[in-house]
Amino acid sequence: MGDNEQLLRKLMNEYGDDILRLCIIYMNDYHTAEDAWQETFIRVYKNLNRLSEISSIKPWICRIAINTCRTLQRKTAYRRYNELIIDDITGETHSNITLCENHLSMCKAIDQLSLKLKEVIILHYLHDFSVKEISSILGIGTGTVLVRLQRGREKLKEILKEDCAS
Amino acid sequence: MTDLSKQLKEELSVFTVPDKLVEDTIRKTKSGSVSDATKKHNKFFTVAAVLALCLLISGSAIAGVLRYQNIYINGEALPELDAMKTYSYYEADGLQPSGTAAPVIYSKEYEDISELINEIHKNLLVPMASGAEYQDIYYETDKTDYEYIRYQLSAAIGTGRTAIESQIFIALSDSQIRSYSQELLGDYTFEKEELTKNGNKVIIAGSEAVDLIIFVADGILYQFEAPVSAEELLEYVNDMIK
Repeated sequence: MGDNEQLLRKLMNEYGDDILRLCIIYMNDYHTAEDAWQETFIRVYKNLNRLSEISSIKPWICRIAINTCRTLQRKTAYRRYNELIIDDITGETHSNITLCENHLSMCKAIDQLSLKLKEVIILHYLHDFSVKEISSILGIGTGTVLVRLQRGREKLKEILKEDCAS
Repeated sequence: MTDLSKQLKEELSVFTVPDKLVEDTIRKTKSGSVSDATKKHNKFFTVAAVLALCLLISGSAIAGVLRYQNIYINGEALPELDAMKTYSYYEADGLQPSGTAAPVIYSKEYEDISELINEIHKNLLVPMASGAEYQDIYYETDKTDYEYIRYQLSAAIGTGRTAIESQIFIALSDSQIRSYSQELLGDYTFEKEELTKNGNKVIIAGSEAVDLIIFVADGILYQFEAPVSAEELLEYVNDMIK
């Protein structure tokens, strides 16, 4: 096994699950999320020679993943799916988990946010990145991150409130 | 809301990376096939890529300039913009192919917008002031029908600096212009039409977080998006126009 392959495996082992979850909630489709995940780590592989210059690896991989998701959304004429098909994970053929099930209610609520708000909410609440780190990952000002976090939280409150009422 | 993080993590904890995906990714890095979807999704991706090309820029056999008129928000068609033109293709250095299966899309990431402009030989409407802080400059083309550029720029707008997301579409063939179609995803609503100081028609749309303007200048389609007001965005565009 080559050094680069070993390093890639290490990165996939360490950050793979987190990146897959980011892709799933960003793309709202398991298969497209898998594609985004794979493309992300292929890009990571192509840039392994830069690893020594990168001070913080997880934000760097998250940034690649988000850019990949954005590109894939556009390339595939992204449309929202109502279901997450997880046959690969469960080993069952075409067993579906719909976003309407209760245990996925937060994901469902987040999915109703605009992409801008969704990104900061995912990075902050799923990946525990600070406002400064999110600012660096998304290439936007910290003020913008704060505003989007605030708006995202308010919007989620509304969505969850409506959900409870219905 | 304090449980948001906990709940989100719990909901997503069922998802872990399948070994098969890891091995497939390793195999692709070895084979040099770096951008295809997993084998079982090849058909989906081929169809999706074709769809994406049609959606990005698709067109007519009418020579010269063509009207751009298929932008939608939530299914609502927006007013048409000025005409797009076809441009000649000049190959940039070091383009990376998306894979081997058709349609192949070539891309490259740049550090310097000037380098991109020089390589593709297009006179783009972009801020060139020294100190302009560009990030994530991404270029993509199929070499025959379209070129697409995306970048982020930290710019002084209104009372402070903000990040502007910009997209540029360039048509390379008449046959790819006619039914250019784009749907603005997210919770945008159409707000109004305006004109740039050069008289280019501008569509203004907005969401709760950002405003967005789209226009065609010299036959090239531009889209700018930032968390500022539409007026400030239009002023930003007018400042770029000489």
